[in-house]
Amino acid sequence: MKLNQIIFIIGLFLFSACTKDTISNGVSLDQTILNNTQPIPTQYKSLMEGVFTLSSGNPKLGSSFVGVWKRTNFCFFSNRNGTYIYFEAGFNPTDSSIILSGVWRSPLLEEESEKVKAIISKEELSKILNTSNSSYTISCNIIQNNGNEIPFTLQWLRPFSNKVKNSDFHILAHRGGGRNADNNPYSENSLNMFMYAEKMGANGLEIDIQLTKDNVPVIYHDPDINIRLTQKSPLVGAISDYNYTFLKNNIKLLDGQEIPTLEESLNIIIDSTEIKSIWLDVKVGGAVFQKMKPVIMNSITKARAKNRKIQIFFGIPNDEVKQAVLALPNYTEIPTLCELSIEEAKSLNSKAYAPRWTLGTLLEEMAQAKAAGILAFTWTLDGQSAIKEYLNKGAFDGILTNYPSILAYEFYIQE
Amino acid sequence: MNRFFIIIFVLLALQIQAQENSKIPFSLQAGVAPNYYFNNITTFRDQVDPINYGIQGRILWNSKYRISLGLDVSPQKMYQVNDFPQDPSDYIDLWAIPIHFFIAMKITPKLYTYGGFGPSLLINNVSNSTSSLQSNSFSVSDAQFGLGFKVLSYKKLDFSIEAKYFISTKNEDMNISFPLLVSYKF
Repeated sequence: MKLNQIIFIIGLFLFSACTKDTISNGVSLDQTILNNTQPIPTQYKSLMEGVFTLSSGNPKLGSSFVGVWKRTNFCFFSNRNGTYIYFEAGFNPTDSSIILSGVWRSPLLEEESEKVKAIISKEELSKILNTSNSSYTISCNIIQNNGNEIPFTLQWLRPFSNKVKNSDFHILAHRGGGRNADNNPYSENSLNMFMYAEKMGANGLEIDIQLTKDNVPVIYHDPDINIRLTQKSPLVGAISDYNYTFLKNNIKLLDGQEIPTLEESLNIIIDSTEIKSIWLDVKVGGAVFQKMKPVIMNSITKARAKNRKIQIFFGIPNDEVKQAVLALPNYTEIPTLCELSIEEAKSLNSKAYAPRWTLGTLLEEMAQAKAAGILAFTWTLDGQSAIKEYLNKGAFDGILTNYPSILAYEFYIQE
Repeated sequence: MNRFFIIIFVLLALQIQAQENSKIPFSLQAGVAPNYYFNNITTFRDQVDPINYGIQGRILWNSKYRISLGLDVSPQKMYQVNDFPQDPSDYIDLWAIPIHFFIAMKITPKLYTYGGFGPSLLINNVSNSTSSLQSNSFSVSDAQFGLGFKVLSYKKLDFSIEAKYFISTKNEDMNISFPLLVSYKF
């Protein structure tokens, strides 16, 4: 075979090579371990939280952890690759221990998730209850998918610092929790992802808004139907070319879920999570605000009726969207998040200002924002060292990230 | 972008071997092309009809070597989908219209190979019993490769049959077609 032909064939192979995003739900936690257990008494929960170290065993999941209760899950965030473990827990009345059944996962590792089981023995539990700030240990086992077990022990070191306890910091997860490009169990911008995001450490969500042909605001990042976000279907055009019902019937997100509407999304976030802030990243101008406004106002009313504290921000990422906002009657009453400048945020009476992270910590602007009662978020910060630096040196009220588990670790471990 | 340079490199490597050939510098080609779609659709996979057709259109400049350069615009129906379970009157098809830089090389006096690359206009036609719509989008880096055989020559006309592989990268659509072509040299 001549060299030319070899080069040609190699060229064809290279041309055909590509990597596709895939979604793997991974393993589910083992509920049978929790049979015959009782709910953990509320007063135990805050005592269990804190900073942990790996005192023995394989450092596969990391060597330093923070343990935080997120609704019914006791979640651990480690210093390694954004690794997190979420446990369901039950009190075992027969031997007065706490049983934990969980799963570990990392958005940055291609490894499949694995089950983890753990126990806080009666003796260790008594240390938590009888002595304030007493160290206790959790005996854990990673259950590999081939059945082998890897034991490790977490030792509680200290409670969270007052800085952390007194903070109202927003850990904002990009695209409703995380991107399809990372190792996440659900599609980005999907209902299941919104409910899962807290397990990754988020207490706020950024979600993307597109408008269908019949003016239904839907949660979807790109302007068109494509195989990065959806299962391959016969449709390839723009989201705005199709009516919502048609999209619902014909398009599935990568993991098989439907494209959610804004209304469905807000309902599920309010009803099924403790998420405290939602940043609506509006991808289109024009009529979208007029269509979003009643949906959002209904959701705010609903949340208030349930005594649910949640802030919903209309994002203003560019001048086109700004003009659409200015065209609305009483626009200063709309809770907007302005990305343009602190001056524009003030003039729009925005509730939040969100500069790009590459602009730096912007301490002077942060002072102006605080003086005006405007929250300040930076976006989209993913590197662990940069997150740490911005937490230490910055004065932001929140950070938007693709890796909320990294941000959660760096936030909770602050002294 | 790497793919673009690889193709350019390969084509230039082929041209080094080229030898003097044609005396007639231009040709216009037209034809029809039945095609088969490699069905990788997940949603409503079973409703996809993979056998379709296209139209071929090219204008070529034939160099004094074995290489010919030109433009290929060959609309082709990639697939059609009907008999949807939720509404049997729903109908979807996708047309791709490649607008490709085209390069061909004679291997023997009758046998030639070719490749083309460039954007394609994708046209989605959607209809049901009550409405219809068309949605257009671009796939920016598509390609085609093929092998052709000149069956008959008559004065300024050549008749050829080809086997062509086409890939549209936007949504990873691929088909193979068998164009029947007539070339007019001028």
